[in-house]
Amino acid sequence: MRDSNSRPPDRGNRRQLTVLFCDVAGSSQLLESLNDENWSYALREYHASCQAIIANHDGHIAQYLGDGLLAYFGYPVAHEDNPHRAIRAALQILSQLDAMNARIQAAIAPCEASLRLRIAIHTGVVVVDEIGKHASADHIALGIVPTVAARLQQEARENTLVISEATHRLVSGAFECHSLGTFALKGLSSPQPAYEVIGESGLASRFDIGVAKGLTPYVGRERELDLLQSVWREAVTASGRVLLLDGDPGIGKSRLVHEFSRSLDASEHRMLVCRCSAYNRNSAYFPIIQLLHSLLGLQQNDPPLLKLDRIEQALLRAGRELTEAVPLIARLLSISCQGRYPEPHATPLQDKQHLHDLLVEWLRHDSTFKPIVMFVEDLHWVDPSSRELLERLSGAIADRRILLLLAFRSEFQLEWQHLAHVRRLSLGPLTRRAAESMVRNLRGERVLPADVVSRLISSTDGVPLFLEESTLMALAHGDNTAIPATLHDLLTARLDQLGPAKELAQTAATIGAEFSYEMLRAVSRLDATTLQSQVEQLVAAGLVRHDENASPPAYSFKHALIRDTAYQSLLSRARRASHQRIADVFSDQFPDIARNQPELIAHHCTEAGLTQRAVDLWQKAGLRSAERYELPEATRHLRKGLEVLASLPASAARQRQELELQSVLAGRLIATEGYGAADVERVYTRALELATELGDAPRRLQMMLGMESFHFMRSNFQTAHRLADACLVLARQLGDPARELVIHWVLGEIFFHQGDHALCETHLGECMNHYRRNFHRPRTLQDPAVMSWSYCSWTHWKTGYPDRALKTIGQATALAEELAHPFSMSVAYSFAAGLHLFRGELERAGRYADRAIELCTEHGFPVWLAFCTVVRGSVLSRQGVTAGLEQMEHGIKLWQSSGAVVTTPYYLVLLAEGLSTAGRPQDALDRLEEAQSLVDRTGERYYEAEISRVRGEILLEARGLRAALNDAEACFSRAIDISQRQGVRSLELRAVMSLTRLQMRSDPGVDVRSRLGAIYHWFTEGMDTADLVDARQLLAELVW
Amino acid sequence: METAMDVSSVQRIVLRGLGFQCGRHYFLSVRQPARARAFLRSVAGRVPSASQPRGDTSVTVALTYSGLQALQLRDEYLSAFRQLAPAFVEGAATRAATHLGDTGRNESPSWQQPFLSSRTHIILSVYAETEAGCEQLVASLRKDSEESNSVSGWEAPLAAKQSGSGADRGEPFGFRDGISQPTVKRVHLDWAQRNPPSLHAEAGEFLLGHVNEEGSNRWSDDVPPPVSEFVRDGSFMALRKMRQDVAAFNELPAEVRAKMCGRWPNGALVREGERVQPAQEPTDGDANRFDFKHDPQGYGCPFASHIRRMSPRSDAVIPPRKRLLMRRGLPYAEGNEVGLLGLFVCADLERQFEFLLSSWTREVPGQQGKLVPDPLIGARDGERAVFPIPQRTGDRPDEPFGSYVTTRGTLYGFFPSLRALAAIETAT
Repeated sequence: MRDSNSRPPDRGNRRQLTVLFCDVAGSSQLLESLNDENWSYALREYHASCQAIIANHDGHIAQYLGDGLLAYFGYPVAHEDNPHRAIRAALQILSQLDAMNARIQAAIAPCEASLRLRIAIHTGVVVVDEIGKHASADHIALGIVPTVAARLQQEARENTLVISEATHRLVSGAFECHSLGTFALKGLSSPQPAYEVIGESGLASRFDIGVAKGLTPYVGRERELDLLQSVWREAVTASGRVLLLDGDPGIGKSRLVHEFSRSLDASEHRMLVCRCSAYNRNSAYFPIIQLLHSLLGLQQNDPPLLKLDRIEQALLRAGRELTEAVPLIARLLSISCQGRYPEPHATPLQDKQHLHDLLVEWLRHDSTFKPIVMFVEDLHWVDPSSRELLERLSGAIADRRILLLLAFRSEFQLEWQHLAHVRRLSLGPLTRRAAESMVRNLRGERVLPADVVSRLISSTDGVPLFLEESTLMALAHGDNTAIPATLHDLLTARLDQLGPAKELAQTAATIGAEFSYEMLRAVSRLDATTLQSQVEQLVAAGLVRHDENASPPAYSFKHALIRDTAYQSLLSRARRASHQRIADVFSDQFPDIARNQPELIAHHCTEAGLTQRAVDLWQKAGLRSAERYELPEATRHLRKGLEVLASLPASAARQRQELELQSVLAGRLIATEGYGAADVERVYTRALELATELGDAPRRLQMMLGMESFHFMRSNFQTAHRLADACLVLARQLGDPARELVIHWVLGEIFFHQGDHALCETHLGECMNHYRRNFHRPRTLQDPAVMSWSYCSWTHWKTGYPDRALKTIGQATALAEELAHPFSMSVAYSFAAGLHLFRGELERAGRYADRAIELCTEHGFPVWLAFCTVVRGSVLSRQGVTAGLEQMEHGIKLWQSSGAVVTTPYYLVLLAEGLSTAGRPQDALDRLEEAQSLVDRTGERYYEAEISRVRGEILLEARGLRAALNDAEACFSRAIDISQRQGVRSLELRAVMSLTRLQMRSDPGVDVRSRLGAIYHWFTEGMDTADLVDARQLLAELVW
Repeated sequence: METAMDVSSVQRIVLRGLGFQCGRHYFLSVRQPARARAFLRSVAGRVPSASQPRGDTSVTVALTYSGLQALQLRDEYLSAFRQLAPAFVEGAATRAATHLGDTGRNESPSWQQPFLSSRTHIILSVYAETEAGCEQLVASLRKDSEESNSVSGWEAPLAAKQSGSGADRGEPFGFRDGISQPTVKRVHLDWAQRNPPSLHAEAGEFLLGHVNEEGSNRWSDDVPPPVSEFVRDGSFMALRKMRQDVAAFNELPAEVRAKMCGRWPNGALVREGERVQPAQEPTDGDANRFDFKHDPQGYGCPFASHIRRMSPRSDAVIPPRKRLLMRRGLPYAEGNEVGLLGLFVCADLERQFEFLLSSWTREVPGQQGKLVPDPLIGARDGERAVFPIPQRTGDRPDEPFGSYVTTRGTLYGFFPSLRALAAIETAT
């Protein structure tokens, strides 16, 4: 793309041109006072000095006419602000005149002669007919335009600048001018007004003429601005607010926020801007990291210790505990702690929780000094981790003076809109009236025919960006120019006008929505001067925005559409080459990126068609994210890697790599997608297939266990069982006793749920008896012995050994505590809570459930959190606390939302009991029916007897003895039958008691004592547990 | 030293052919050890012994090692098995890849579940002329066990069924099956009418506690007396389910199929120059009383053929070796899948069954190191092989062949003597 390809196809185009004519006043006298040689020297000095200034403003000197010169602004390189540039160049020439004269005088001394200049500028439409490939003024049919300028120049006073009416119209406001009246100019029939330019207008803010060039007066959004301001007032005076601002691209979201920000008193708020980017949507915390860099004033090349100092200072100001906070922030920013702080030793998940806590608290703390507007732009491109953080933040600002302003495209879905302090503002298209007023503002004094305006408005759908761009284009091309059908064409045209800098724009667009000067320099191969001037050109053309306050990347495309257009204008071959170059440069020269954003380089490699390298990098990125517990990113990277991998030719190496990718992916998917996702099974199946083909037995075993776990949680016991059996064979073949143990636990767990306590105990016993401390793997979730003891304790209770159960759960909790393994502790406490609930010890059950809930919340174990929440709810409900019901329902929902099916019947029985207590028997019966149908479908039988018994009790309660007698009796008999078949004595006891009570009431003559006595006397322990105490009392009542 | 043999205590299946049309194998789990032992004692009364004539039905009982554990046999007993029968202890699934040649699509993790499960404790097999007969036979056993909660696992038996009857009995590839069975010294007194000497062996080849062909009797000499008493007259068995791809096998020319087997479908030995099956169907005795002394080049029955490697006879080329198995299998059909539910009985799983599977199915006898899988039973993974067929007029081009058999599972069990079964309580 370095040759003719990049030339804009502008043959025969009309375009607007600004010409500058500069002449030396009184040159003939001057010539007399100097000799030829000195005159020639002075002239050269004058030309050189003008040439430099004009070039600096991207003007082009077309001709030297003796002591005069003619310069173009707008060709061959076009800018939106050509007249401004011409004027600024002229003013600079004039302001440097004294210095120039001094140089001349010094060189040809003794001489007091000095050059005096007159300059004029005029703007008009010319026809460009470029035939050759090199830009040259020779191809311009100039017509009358330079003549007008030359004539005007003659009207100027010495050392002043005169501009024509046409030019004046285009720069109105930017410069201070005064009218010179009208002049009759040769070749023009009517007298022409002229203006002398005094200087830059004081009104012109830097914003107006620099950063966001072409910002037009703000129209048509008064209502929205009012709303934004009123939400802000609420945030400051009442309570923190979240404002969701959505709208289509170009609709004016950023502009609205800009206007809002301008309307605020800078001393009374603090504005934090996070900008999400399409390129970095897979880089965890990208916008947050950018924000922190800019808040902390970190520069890329700062030494790590300096960076660390800055972090410390900021955290100290925020009143944070440094030892905990610094490593988290440093890690987030990928800054080494240089041994000053211990590495965080928590699990990645905990780290993440701590990081979120820290950032949220930091912001909350800062808001006590000054209210904060936190503006997140382009939220639709947010990376999942930032999203999670923002979600967390949105829930934590209600009591702080914070406005969290989230702008995103309308199609983006946010699920957390139900919070009370969330407001929503949707930006729609401009009304026709507002659109007209916008065109009017843009047009200024210039003329656009009514039908053109009308077409402009209808073709741009009231999207302000489109309208603005189209109008400017129409103005620039004169009224004959057809309105481009789409903005894309329009933007392409604008890119074409960049000339050589277009290529730079394309390179920048290939890098991404944001880029730094260093990146461009490294990638573009341009020399420093050219690069500098081209970058400035991009900024000046309003395509790219420069943020001086941000650490790199300091440049960004003003709008995604501009970037897309630039990017798409590249031919695919060139695009690939460009991506490859970027990938190479990033890898070689930007170690930070190579280390911290491998996904970025992976992306460039992918687009460059460097498949193998891309796959390696996606894999690296996936593993890196997985290690940092950024699971959604991890799955995206890995999926991307797999996608790219598929295009490699088949080979054993490819299979091995696919296996690596699939198995890491499989492990993460359950966490991110839940057990319900078909994807989980698909990935496991594929990984299994690969491991089998490759003969990688350990990996295969690992995948089979994962698959087993998936099916188990889905209550597909048959499949789980089959897999577990195969796992056991594999583990034996591998000679891996630690794994064998795990599989015994897994088998025990399956039999437990199927209600086969004998086989359950056999397998759990196998696990517990052969457990060795060195089998414990801190990084894996479950410890097999803790799991086995936990399940075993419930089995003991159910089979009629309440005290042995207590002892067993004691072993589980003791081991878990000894291992200081949070997951194991959560599990053991949850089971302990459940066991005490079985034993009727509500307070202790509640205490254990609380501890489990605390641990699960702290460490993020959603599945077990659901479990202990249900148990906790049941305890509360039994204690007469109505909130218990809600807790149970919440817990069940949490459980099911993970896709898990297993254990649901047990939960539903607990819930039904609660519902019945709360006087909602029909709801309770519905839940039981649900439970029974689950049991029938899945074969999960361990609480089956209770479904029937509880149903009988509820029927009696709801319908009364007479009406429910037969049904209830059938229920209790069934419960007895089931529990006898399963050998679960404790549940049998409950069922027998229920039946006994019923028969006492219905048929006092019948001998019910012997059956109750038989089961009661079977028990040898746990005599003080609730059920046995009840049974004893019941027996006592039956004595006579 | 010869040991006393109590044929009346040997399960009939070990020493006598079964000859039933239908069979069913139940893979049972012990639920309550004491009750399960009681169940076994009651079943023992229904298992016919080798001294009984064939009845209308038959029952056999085998125990796996995990079964012996689940029944809570004393460690003295268990350790004897650990010491002398490692294959039985480790189980076929664990040893499949290393000792049975079951890799790739045959590998044990993909076997059917009863072959994998460590909860397969008891293999109870019933045989009858009809499926209804099997069903009837098992109904009462099942009812008792369910009521007493002694054993479970009646839901998913494996069923086998003979496709034809009489002379039409065959396995799915179409060969007459069960022609060659070893005979046992001091038991099969009429052996000479049935077998060449190479197929006649010491009782210790099939029964524990007796001297074998190598002259040793470890189950008597190397274990404590109560254990040797417990195991005596018992046998080991391997139940192996093999799927047969009949359509693919039948794509081979009939002559090649016969060469691969070593027999024609009607059981007649393949002889030199024969291109089609001889019309005359041989009797069992005729079909079995031959040796390879007159076929030193393998021009008739190729060295790589199934019968020349699996039941070696006096041979001009191949040194004598005895690794005999009683074969008691039946074909099965499940949906579209057909194959053989092979049941093999011997006294030493490592030396007999596993050696045959891992070595003899792979190597061509007498041709050192030449590896050709046995096309009829050699389960292997995908790759094609060539079958060498020697000819007097220069060797026939090697016949390429695919793999026609897939292992669906293998399970090792121990057939206790009826005496031991009845007295199982003493071992706990």
